[in-house]
Amino acid sequence: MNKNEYTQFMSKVKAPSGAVEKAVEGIYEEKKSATITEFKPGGKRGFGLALAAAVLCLVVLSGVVFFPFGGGAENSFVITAGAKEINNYELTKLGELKCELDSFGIIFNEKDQAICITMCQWLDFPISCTGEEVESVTYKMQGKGCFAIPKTATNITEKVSFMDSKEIAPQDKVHLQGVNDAHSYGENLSSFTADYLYQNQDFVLCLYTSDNNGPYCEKYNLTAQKTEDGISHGKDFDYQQMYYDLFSADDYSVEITANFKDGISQTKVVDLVIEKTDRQSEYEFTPSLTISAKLAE
Amino acid sequence: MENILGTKQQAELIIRQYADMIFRIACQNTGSMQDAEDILQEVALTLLQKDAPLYDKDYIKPWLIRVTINKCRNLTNSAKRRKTEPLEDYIHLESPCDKGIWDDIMELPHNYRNVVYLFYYEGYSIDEIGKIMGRKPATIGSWLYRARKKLKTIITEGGNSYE
Repeated sequence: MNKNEYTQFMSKVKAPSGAVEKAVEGIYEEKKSATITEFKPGGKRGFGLALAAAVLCLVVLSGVVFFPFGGGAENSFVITAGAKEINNYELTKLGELKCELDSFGIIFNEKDQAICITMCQWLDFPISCTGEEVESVTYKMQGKGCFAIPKTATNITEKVSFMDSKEIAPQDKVHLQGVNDAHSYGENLSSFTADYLYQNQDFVLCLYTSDNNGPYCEKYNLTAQKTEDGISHGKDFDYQQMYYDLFSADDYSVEITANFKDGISQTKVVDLVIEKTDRQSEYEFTPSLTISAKLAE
Repeated sequence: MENILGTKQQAELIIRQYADMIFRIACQNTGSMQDAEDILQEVALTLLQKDAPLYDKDYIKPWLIRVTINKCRNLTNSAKRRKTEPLEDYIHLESPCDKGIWDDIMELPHNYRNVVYLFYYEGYSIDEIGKIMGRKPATIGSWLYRARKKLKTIITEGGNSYE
């Protein structure tokens, strides 16, 4: 199918005239008092998005400075996720906005004649550095993950310098191709440095994982086979548990280095931990998971 | 009284202008023409809600798209939905290729179908689709890429076939 075939076909799909007239009729029959209903686009999800977005904006714009334990020390900074400070003693939830596991795929490796499961999770990069006399902040991904920075960001090269890209295995790269096309300066960024005031704005973090050898297929009753049209897979498998177990098998962390104006640099590491929630996702094969952040000891 | 008539007249104009778009989105999400007609009627009624952007020319179309998708999602998650019906009962398929295209579209996950439609037919950018669907552009880009792959015949890339 090409674009012309698709658009020509869709042009043929038109609302029957009777259906349109019936819809118009319904408009005029509707009583005024019955039409005042509250509309919530996206429902709870929309509310969660709006709340989280408001929280992130507050963190970026407030300029509030947090002092670490024993505060007042020079060249010190704290790591914040959303509006909360992450410390060594408390596991801080990053909120439901961050749980957007939405990419699941199966690849058939022609060379090895094997099925490979691939998954990735996209999330707003929720972590930032707060401190005094900080000139810039360097973020470095450890583990199977990379950053993406929107192409639509203005004057990005004046505010962010891109340090390293990383080699990605083919089964993991398929998730990133679409994102790189739409979103990123560079590809598969493993680290970047942002001006202190520009950090945590529209940055995206991608975590990915894959299972090359098939044990997860067997464990979760996921059947897949190669067909003439591609690969088909069964629908009845415990994707919630599979997602959780696959992501839990890998370690994900972000190394954050504050570069102070006097030339000193300090580094802290934040571990990202996948956790389950009870919230039901409204998307197909998309489990409900959250990410928690904890300072590495 | 004048305001009520004005609202309903504006709603009528909007429905007549966008009925085909609403119907297309509903068709490909529900797979049922009858359900799509029901969705059209429901969307028409939402135009009478107090926060409907009846007079905002730039926003009404994206708003309608989002409302329609949400209505379809609510319907597919309920017990009331009908079984899918053959498309040829409602439109004239001029070639076997048409049926093949419809079958291919229906093989896609719902969110992929919507992204493909909004990108290729309505001409929205990935960023715009992200705002309409309430998803990050990164996610939309990924969905579009995967949909493209799925709509082609077997793709071989670096020794791998992709689903």
